[in-house]
Amino acid sequence: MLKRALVYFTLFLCISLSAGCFDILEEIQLNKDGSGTIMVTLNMSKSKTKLASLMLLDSVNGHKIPSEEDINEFFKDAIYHLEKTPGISNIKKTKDFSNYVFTLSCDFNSVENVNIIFKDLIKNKGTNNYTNLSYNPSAHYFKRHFTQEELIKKSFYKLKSEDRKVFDGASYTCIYRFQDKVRAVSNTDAKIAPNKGAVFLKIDALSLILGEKNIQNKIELTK
Amino acid sequence: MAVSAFCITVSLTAQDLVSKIPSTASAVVSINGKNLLQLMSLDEFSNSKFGTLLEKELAKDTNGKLETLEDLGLDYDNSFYYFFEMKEGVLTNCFLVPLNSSKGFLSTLRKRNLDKTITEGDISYFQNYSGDTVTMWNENVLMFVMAIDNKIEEDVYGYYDDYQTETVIEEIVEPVEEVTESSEEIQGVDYYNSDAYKKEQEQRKIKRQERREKREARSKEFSKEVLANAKKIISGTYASKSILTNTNYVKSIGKGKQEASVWVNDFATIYEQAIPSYMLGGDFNPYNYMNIDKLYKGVSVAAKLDFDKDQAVLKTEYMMSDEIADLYRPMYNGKINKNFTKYVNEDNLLGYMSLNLSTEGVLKAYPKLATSLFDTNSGETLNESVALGAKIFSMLIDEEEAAKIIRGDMFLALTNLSEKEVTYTDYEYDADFNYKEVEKTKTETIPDFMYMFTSEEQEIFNRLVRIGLKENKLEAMNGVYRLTDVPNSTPFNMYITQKDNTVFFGSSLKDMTAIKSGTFVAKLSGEHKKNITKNASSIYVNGKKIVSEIPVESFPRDLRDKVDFLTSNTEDIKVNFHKIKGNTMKGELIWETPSEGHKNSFVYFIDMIDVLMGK
Repeated sequence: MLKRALVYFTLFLCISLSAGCFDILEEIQLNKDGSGTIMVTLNMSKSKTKLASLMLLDSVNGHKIPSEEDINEFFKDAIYHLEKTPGISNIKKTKDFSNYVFTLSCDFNSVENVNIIFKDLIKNKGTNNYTNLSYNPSAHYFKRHFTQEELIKKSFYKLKSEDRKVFDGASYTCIYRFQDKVRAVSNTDAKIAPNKGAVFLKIDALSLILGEKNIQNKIELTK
Repeated sequence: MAVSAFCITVSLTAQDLVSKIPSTASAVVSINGKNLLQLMSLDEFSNSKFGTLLEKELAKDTNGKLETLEDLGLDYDNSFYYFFEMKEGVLTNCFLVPLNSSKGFLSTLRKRNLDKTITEGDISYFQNYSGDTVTMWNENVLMFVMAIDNKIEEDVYGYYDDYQTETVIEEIVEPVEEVTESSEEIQGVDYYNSDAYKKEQEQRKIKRQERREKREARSKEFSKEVLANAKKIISGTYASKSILTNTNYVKSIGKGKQEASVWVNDFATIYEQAIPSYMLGGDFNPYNYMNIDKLYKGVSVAAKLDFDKDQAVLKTEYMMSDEIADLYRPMYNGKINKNFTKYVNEDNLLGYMSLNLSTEGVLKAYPKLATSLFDTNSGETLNESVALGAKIFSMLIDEEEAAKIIRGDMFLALTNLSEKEVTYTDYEYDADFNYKEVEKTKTETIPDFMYMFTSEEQEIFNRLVRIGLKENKLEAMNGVYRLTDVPNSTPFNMYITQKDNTVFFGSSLKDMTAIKSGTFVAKLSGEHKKNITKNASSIYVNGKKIVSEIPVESFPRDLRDKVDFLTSNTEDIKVNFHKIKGNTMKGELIWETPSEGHKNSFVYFIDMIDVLMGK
């Protein structure tokens, strides 16, 4: 009884006192022939005390909290799916439940293979926009597509203000590396590295959700 | 003497509806209108947001015929009662509402009910279709009687019993029927068209009809019984045998200063009668293998709710049979470790919970309790096994030695919210956006906790520590040991140490080190010390401190603009369970309320509802 009282009391205070936030990092290394490596990292370590407490609960404010098994299950599914996707190889994952940092990476033969992954992920989410990446070696450009979905904005507004807080301080970062030099970028928030080999774009999650900023970017490469 | 004097006083105030409650009632709930009105007048209540809302609803429901709570015609100056009675398989629930006049109540009635109202002398009533509910009133009292007849239920289920019997008979004659059936099949005659089947169906139909008639007759009879009982209650014809002759009840309400009270008598009878007899068969019936009577016989519960000037107090009394009290008493008769109070500083205290059990008492009592509960004299294997198991348990366990490891008294304190440095993973990028993971720190506000329990077996603790150190599960820090194997994300470190006869487990290294070195500065009021040491269990919540230390943005959105009100209007909550005395265990919940800004604690709760209701 005492232990339960302690757990609930600590939980109550932890939930109340720590604000949630997370970072998503999308990193692509693109070779001249269109093949490359993609790595997606979800870093929730800034909220780890809150997450450690939350994961002891089934749900908070009606939202289900995934357990460690749920997350393991998700990874198993994702890897199974990636293994079945043509052109995808060298699948790697890391799970750090102490710091709540999770990564998934793989090599691809062409960006089309990556689009297929996204297509399956996005399927049934009320959108038809499946193209995320395109690479045109003859025209020398790489494009990150992104369409502001009204649905996401609407879903966000449907959340209670306490639940929206989870996006405060959250960010989405894209890093793209090329073997050719970068000539220009279309997204004004993106930065080109001094060595011209990489492009960096970091946007806070709220701006992305509300459509104030986006991650769409056309990166022109030198011929 | 005092009790009988009180009886006379109450029975003399003829308007008090308590005289309408029979002495055989098993449960009585009362709300003392007069006491409540002294705390808050009807006008004051009507002007509160809550009161206004009630009046609005009343006007809506009566198409504007009644506008105020006063119009309803209730005698708010008198007591409202509910009682529950069980007699010969009939359960009666009755609400007694004092009236100044029945006019207001009549305005709330729908035409359908007005049409079927019967008036006999000064009483009027109507019954529902099935007859088990009676609404009855005169100019002084409004009464709702709801009765349940377990006998009717028994008949309904009787159908299945008959059906089963018939099936058994069918099975017996089966070999003969098989021959008949096969010859019939050859001739192409279906069993369902056979004469035997038709005859059987006919018989069942007749039986069903008989049962229905029997049920309907019983239902009519029951309807009359309920009505007769209602008339008996309203007239209070058993005045000489009203609940006021039940000394247990009279004792439980004391001087009648409370605003509300609950009294429940004899759980064993309630348990037996409230569960319909048709359910008391088969494997689900605990009476088959357990002596439930032993647990509940003679058990009664009384609770009183009192709204004082600066606190609301709920007092409870749990009375049990001598036999059960003898078994329970040693369990709750632990000796609290007075050292606990030396390691608490109330300036930092958010709350605590103390538990004062006796491991020795529990280990000695459980085998006895189990043997006693399963002692049904049935000679069944289960009952014999439980008795044997309990005996072996007692022989193998040395209660005194076991109590040396964990004596049974423990204390949990939650201390001030402190800022803790928490690490997290971030990324640092170079000019070419190559990045590396770096560990950064940030501060978070987290409460500290300290859990203590008594253990006189130092050798066991020392051995465990030695194993922990060897296996790298503990890290030594000047007599305090840090648990190294806790998940990285646990928001606090956990430390363990022992001093004298007490084991400490907590999250504050500072406190643990101070305890070990004997430099801990304790501060605890006499009242807290008394509550912790004298009671079987004591809980304390420092409401004001908790509310004031939680950042405003962490409150639910709807409450944020009310945080100031909550901060200045939240006080302490205390819960104490006393040790068993005689065969009674008493408990109390004290909700302290600020005396400034509120006339008394009842007004405080109405004010609180108003504030939480918003605009």
